Amino acid sequence: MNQAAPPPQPAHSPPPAHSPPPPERRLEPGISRLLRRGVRIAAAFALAGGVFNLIRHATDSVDFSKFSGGSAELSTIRGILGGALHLHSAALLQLGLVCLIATPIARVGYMLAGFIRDRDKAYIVISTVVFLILLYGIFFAAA
Amino acid sequence: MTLVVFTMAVGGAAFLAGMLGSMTGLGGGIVLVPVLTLAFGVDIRYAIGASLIAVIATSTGSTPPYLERGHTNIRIGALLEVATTTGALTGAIIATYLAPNLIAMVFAAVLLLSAAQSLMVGEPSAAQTPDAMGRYLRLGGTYVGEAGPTRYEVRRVPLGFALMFVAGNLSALLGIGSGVVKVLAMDRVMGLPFKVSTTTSTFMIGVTAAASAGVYLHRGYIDPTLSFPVIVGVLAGATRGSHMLHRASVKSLRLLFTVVVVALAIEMAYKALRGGF
Repeated sequence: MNQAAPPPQPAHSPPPAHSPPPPERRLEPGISRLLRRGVRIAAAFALAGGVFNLIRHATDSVDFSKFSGGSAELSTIRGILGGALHLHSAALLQLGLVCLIATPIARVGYMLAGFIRDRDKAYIVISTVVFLILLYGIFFAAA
Repeated sequence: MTLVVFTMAVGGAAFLAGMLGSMTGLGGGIVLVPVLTLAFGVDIRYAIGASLIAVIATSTGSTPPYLERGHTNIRIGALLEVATTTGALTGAIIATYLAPNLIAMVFAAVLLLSAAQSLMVGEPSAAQTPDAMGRYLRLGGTYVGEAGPTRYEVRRVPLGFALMFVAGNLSALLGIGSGVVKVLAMDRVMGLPFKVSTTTSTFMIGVTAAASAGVYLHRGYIDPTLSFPVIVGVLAGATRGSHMLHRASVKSLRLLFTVVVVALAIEMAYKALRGGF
């Protein structure tokens, strides 16, 4: 995504190897792919909804100075999915944002699966705790 | 203000914030809430929601290159995320009981701390002997530094854990990434090499923010119309900023950052004391 200049390599360091990564790094390529894919999916929905919303409501006046909570369509997963399916621009955009929130959650799930496969008991426990906390936040936390 | 004008103005402000953040390496997110509330009159709850989303976006977007360079330690990240996400949930719950003016005061205080932090330079030497928890959880690792592959260990894990809990709370309360606290904990308390601290912090920020973002979504803090220009602006600014790094003088940028942050802190405190939030 970013094309920041890579750090200068000292002359004697080995060239980047294409051998499989050491055990503690085995999950990293998959995590990278997952994060990139998640951002792309989120961006697709968000851009579609956002641009659409901008065009449709371009001259509407906006005022965010008073907090009035959120509509059911935009603050519940069910509402957002329904609204997006009906191509409501704000709901489509919100779906993109939900996908964005879901990406790090999926990353934790991916790591958990990896630790289960490696039978790494300590980290299975660790990632399960984090995974449950995240799932609680996005699915069960009441208004 | 019409939607178009608002979107362009907020997008522009977010762009500058993102650029400043990526060029100083200090995270532009911390100026988003102050700018949205002070300059655009946005209610602090909507501002926090939008900022949190932007934080997830920049963290998730920046992590893959760091992972590929091998500086991130995902085991340390996984462990400390227990503390940060617990902290984030706690912070999100506490936030309902705190008056917006109080949250604004806390924000002003954190802004000042950030300014102080950005003026501190120095890389303490990396820990060479792990503590018991560091050894049991195999937290140490190897990264490729200027001296070639370097092995490092981790120490004072419990204290680092406690600091991460605080970082999580702040992240949820204020809608920031708390990268400052995270790097502080890993760099100075746990003795990690600087590059590992910063990249692992970035790795954790997205997950931390996602914990409270879910709660805030249900509470209606996340407004899509507001979040859209914020997120597009910050991402564009951060990308542009990282392209310009080689031309910039980091020192003068950090000074600019400090000045801006202190000014915002004073304004926020003033407005909070007058009950303006």
